[in-house]
Amino acid sequence: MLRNKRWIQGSVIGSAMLFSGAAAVSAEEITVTSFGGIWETAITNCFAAEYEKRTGHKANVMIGSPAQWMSQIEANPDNPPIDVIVSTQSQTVAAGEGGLISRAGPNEIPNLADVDPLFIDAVDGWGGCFDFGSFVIAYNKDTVKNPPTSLKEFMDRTIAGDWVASFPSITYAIMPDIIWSFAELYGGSADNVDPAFDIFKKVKASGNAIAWASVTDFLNQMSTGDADIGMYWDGRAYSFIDKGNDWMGVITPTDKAYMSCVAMNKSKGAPDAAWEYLNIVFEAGPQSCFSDYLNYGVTNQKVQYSEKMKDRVTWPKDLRAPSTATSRKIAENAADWIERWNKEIGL
Amino acid sequence: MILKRSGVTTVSAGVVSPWWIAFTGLFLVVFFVLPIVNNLLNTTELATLAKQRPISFYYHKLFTDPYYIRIVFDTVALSVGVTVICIIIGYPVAMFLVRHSGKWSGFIIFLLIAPLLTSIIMRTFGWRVLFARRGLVNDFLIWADILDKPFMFLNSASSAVVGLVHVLVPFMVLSIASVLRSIDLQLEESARILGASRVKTFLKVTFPLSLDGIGTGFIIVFLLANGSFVTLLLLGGGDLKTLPLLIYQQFTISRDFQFAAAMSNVLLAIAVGCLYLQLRLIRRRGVKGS
Repeated sequence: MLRNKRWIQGSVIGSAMLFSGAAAVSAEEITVTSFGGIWETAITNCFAAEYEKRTGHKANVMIGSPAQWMSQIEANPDNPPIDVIVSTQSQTVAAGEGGLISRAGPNEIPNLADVDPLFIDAVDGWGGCFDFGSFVIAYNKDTVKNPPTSLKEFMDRTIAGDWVASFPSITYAIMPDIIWSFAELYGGSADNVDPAFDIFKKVKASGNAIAWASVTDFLNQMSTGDADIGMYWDGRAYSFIDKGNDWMGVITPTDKAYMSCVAMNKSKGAPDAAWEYLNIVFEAGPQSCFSDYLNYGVTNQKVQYSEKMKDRVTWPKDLRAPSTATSRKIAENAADWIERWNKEIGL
Repeated sequence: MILKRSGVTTVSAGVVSPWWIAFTGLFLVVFFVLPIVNNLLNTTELATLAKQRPISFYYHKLFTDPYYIRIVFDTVALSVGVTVICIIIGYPVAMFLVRHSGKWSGFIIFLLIAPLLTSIIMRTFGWRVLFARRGLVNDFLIWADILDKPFMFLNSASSAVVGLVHVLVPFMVLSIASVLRSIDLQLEESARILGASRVKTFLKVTFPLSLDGIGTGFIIVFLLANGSFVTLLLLGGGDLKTLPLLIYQQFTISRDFQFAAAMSNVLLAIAVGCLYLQLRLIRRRGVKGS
């Protein structure tokens, strides 16, 4: 009995030591974030690997979503489990004003000096956006022989039953911004989103619309034929095509697709090593690498795009991008818009 | 508890050390009771630009807004519906497994358990492939001239129910089978000898004795269905909204934790209420031993 007791005690102590050892992270290591899929590959190979090469320290890549990461930082702000957070414009402004991230300029991130000022202003001085993409129309060339050229045509023909269209579900992080963009397209604004709800009510009532819950979900829907056409990110659509799926086509609508830029910021309690990582993220070379992986535009003005990318990037002047004030309004109203969407649309 | 020491066997009643009771109680208080109390009174201030409201606002909304009353009703209805379907499918399977499978019982149990070793997300995606517009089901129905164009099976409440039943029926089968196995066959034989038909024997003897198994299966399946949102997200397409889905939205988009806390507590209350009903309504009707 006594021998058993000692064995149990020893096992408990040994397990505690083992787990505490496994949980202890070197002070030089940082934890950075990424969206899933091809994003993770690009972040790992273009930024994290470069950081590790230059500093000899590890950058652990965590996938998830901005809302999840913000919650994790909020739970332990003095010693956050995440050192560098990726987020959308509106979420960056919310995180900044909520005290979760550090203000950043060229003093903290020298390469910010080469970033187009548009992408610094987009997040109101909370660092800057490092890439941008547009929400275009992706379609199946085999089933959609005469694709639409504008968003309004796309919506009208979905209502008319020309195809089955897929839209992001309300659970997708960027949907409040999409609601704003459609409101503006149809004559509304961040203060009046009724036009967006009106058009989506018609789309839902037509029975020709389905929703995608994640970025890979849309590709599955297109592959299985559940959807013929849909709204999707240009970069991810091109990445899918590059993998041999040349049955997919991409249209940048003439009436201005929604542009989203993605920011990266240091958590307030994170170590200064995170600034080193962020400086790499805003450097031309690593950004060019990222652009080639994701087929998205990047924000350092010194980036030399490959031939492939020159035809694929749509510049902000041709896109619909929210101002900082609009991003703030989107963040303020997102919860109410989501509730209204659940009640009136349901996609 | 039986102790064997130096060839002497002694039997003593099991006595739990007060230290273990104290440790278990403390563990439950810290990791179960306190989080629930915190959830009930959640007043977290968030790093969000959205309006911060007291949690009482959300409880009022949940119980007075017709939309949310409907959501609560749909959550319970979905859970009960899936559970009843699992009982209807699971009982005959359990009966076959226990009474008629013979040497195949191990293999049948393996067939039941094997899917549980696969991620629920992969199994749900399997249904997406089967139910797709150009999936196996539509292809077969068009080939058989039952349909002339593909039917939208996906993105509906029914496809979500199919996905949930597929995932949860093994739990019901195993719960019922374990109780059926313990029923004394002589009771059924006695009923038959005394003139009862097979149906009457089942209704008067077997079924009442298996109620405990149905009750256990009911609770497991109901609670799992009650908290499920992945299947609804992937197969329901927004057609059916339940509390778990709305809670998920609060965490991934709105970051309205007070609202998420209020909905979580209502969901917990539903689960506890059903547990209580199960304990009260389904009693073991055993037969005293001879």
